[in-house]
Amino acid sequence: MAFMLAAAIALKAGVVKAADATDACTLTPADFAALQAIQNNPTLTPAEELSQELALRKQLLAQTIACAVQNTQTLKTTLDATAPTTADNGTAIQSQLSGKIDDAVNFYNIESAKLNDAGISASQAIAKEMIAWRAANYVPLEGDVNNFALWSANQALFQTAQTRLTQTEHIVAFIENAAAGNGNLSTGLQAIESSFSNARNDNVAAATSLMQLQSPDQSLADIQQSLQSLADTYQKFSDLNKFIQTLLPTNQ
Amino acid sequence: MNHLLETLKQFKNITPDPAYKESSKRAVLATMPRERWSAWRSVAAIFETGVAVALAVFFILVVTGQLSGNSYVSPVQFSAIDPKTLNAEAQAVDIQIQLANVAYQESSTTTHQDTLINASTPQMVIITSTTEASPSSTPAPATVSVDQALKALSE
Repeated sequence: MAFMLAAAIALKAGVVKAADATDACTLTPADFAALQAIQNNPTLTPAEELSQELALRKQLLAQTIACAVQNTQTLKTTLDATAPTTADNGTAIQSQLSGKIDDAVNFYNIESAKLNDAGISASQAIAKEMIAWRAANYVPLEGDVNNFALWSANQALFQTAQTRLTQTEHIVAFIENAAAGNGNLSTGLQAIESSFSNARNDNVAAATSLMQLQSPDQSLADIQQSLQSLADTYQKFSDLNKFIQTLLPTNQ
Repeated sequence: MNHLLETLKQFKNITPDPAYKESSKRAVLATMPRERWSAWRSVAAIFETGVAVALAVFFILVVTGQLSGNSYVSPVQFSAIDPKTLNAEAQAVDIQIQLANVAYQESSTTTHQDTLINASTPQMVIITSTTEASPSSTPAPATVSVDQALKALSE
């Protein structure tokens, strides 16, 4: 279990590192220290200082926007790599998020175009506008994409649980036909069915949160709740399984 | 007595009258139903053969358990109560829960870092590697994030 978890986390970290490896965003603190150096250079005339500061600001802002675009394209790659699922509007959610990512790239392109004729104050205004826009749009979008990838991976678990429930229903029916009177079997099966129904409802609620683009924290909380409910269902599967084992001839 | 035995032996030589035998044979053959070819009979024969083959295939699938999708004819899948497969599935759910918790912690950490970045001045972001940085502060990152860069360029 610990090994599998470590492998899963390592795999996830590997994906992130692979994304970083292709990241050409190379802005460093030294780049911005150069800006301060110009502002504090007493040998420059006001005109020279203004000219050099503007040139450096535009260069750094252009680099920053390019970096933002690249990050957005990496996010798009993550979204596209998510296994498509038709369950509970999975395809619609994926399509919606893909559209939001396209919107983000368009926004960055518009800001980049504004940079051509900008002065120092206009470049500062562009930076402020981007900060506000990213806080309101990009950060939640990033969270939504990550949550969607997590939710999509959960669907296989729910499908597996559904198959197990169907098989368990057959086994219970078979045993009751062979030897009626095991009330505990029916009670245990009903508990599983009720628990799994709750888990599926939570899973649908998580999909609804993603579809309605609610806050990433809310979507993640719904996803966590659905997984917790599914774990509860498996606990009930285990309880019933132990009881069935006591009824089998091989264990008597 | 001997005369009687001789008479009985002669019974072996009794044969039907050849003319009567021929006429009887013709009469019997004349009354037998004749199998005449027709399209309907051909269709019926094909249908019967098809049903027989289909039934054979159906029972083969039932015996080999290939009809698991049909609850009415599939054999009961007792493999479903194998504790090993049950534990493996339960562990997969637990792993996913822990991954979700990791995602939550990353989200919380990112929010916290953003708060710190927003609270700091651009100068602090840039000069974290100089003597102005406090001893308890974290080392300066090798690269500047988009939000840090924008913050520095907005002032």
